[in-house]
Amino acid sequence: MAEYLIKNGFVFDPVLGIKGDKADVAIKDGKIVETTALSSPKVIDAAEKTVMAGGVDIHAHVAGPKVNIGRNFRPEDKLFTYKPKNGIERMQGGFSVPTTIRTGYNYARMGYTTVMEAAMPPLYARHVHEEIRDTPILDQGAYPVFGNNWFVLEYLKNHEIENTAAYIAWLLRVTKGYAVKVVNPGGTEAWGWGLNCENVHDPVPYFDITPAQIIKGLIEANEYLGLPHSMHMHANNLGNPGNYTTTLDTFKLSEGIKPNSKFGRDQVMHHTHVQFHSYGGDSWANVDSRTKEIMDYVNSHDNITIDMGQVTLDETTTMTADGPFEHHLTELNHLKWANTDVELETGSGVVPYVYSPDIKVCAIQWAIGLELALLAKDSMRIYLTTDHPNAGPFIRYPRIMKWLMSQEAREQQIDAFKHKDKVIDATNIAGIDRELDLYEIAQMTRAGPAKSLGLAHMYGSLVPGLEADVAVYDFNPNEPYVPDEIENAFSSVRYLFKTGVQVINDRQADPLGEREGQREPAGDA
Amino acid sequence: MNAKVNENPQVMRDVKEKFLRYYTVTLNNYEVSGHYLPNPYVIEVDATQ
Ligand SMILES: [Zn+2]
Repeated sequence: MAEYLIKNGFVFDPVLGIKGDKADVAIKDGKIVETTALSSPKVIDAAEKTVMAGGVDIHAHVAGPKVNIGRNFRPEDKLFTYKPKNGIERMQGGFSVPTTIRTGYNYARMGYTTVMEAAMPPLYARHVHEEIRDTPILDQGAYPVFGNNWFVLEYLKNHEIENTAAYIAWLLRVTKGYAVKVVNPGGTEAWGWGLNCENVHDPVPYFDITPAQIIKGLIEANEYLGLPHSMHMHANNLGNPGNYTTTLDTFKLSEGIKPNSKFGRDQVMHHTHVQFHSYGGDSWANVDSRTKEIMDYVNSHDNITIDMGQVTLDETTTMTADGPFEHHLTELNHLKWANTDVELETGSGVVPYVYSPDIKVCAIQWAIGLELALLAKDSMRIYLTTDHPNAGPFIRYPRIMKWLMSQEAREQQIDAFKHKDKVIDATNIAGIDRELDLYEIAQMTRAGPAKSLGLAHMYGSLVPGLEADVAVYDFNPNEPYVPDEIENAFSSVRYLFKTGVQVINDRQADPLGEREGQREPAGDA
Repeated sequence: MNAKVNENPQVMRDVKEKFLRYYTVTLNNYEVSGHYLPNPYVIEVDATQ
């Protein structure tokens, strides 16, 4: 395989502690190596540019049956978004629910190289893996859902941790899954009876167990097994005003439990898309931000990691195993609704949604997501996500970086809100002047998620020995810039290497990458 | 993930029973076989005690 030397870039690597210093990165045989290990490398000039490890997405919905339902029942998502085959790039389509091909390409364009599918129904695991196979460039894993599974409910009713762990081990093996995902524990099962579980002590009908017992039991089973990632939590009561207390009650279930994993993570619970779980008030009329309460807890408890679930103010397609939530949403917006029960295991719903800057609640949600990251004391424990496509499509990550890095960009957006004053009253965003730097962005998008996933031995850094996933951006952090330059640079990586294969060269797909890329999908090209 | 655990006859019995009584697919038709993963990467943990 070719050798590369990426010379003179401004490197941001939280694992190595490099904060924008000029450094060279060497690639050989698919791995990062010491520069002295190269014999005759191809030199990539990264002068005046930003160099980071490939991005790692800890939570997105990009493969499998509910994504495909979104594609099928939203032909309007594909209107005007098709791009014909161009050179080595294949036909691509879709915006909020792109085709597998576009999913791989668009992540690569942002410099991302690893993406986790966050909810795999075990019964339909095959479909998830088929789509992963058809997604170019990326390394991917998938989390089977466990929180409404009849085996788990029956074992944990009697606190049978060893049996739960044995079942998890079996299911991970047969579905080729990566981690233990929990969605609205008990609530999706209750939805099979038209009911829900709105707090952690709400009993699950016919099973004589509470969400709290399910959550705690699954954390214990996860640690019994010593899995690389912790239990991955989507709590009860998502998207409802006043739900921050449910979120705090959920966090507290992790107290006193220590990680048992040789993979280097410190947390026993990863709570996803916390934006959707940080609401005060008791109706949509008085909903407000409770990020201070949420982040006070997260900042003072290091056995938890979270991700944002940032609203991007786009038209998108929501999809989740939280069946009752999707019903609630379709009752709110009266758009079309798809709903599925997966026998014995889980459920799912899909509803289109428009996050409009003219709607007060959407603007409050936008502020809440950003506040979580801006109030975080440790950017290694909060990760940039949109719960793609639920709060917005993943292609907006560079825009979110802009909002996080620039108070000016946030003020521009706040000024554009129709209900600006009400939004400011209901949130903390206007009073926050913190601007994240690229080191913190690298923590939130590389080193942090890789560590939380237990994959820091492969991804998230440029330490010799790791996979040679390297992104070079046209961004000079030492020159003055306007906010939009952040978004532009991080939307279109200059050079991208995946496992040592150059897949993007001068912002274009690299023909050599197509020929040599060992992670190209099988089938006809 | 390949997590090794102690033999657990109860769980395997429960799995067989659920497939017999409730699932609309058979156990044999449930597992994702290797050819669905052309580029697999297996992480192993040993939780046998
Ligand atoms: Zn999700």
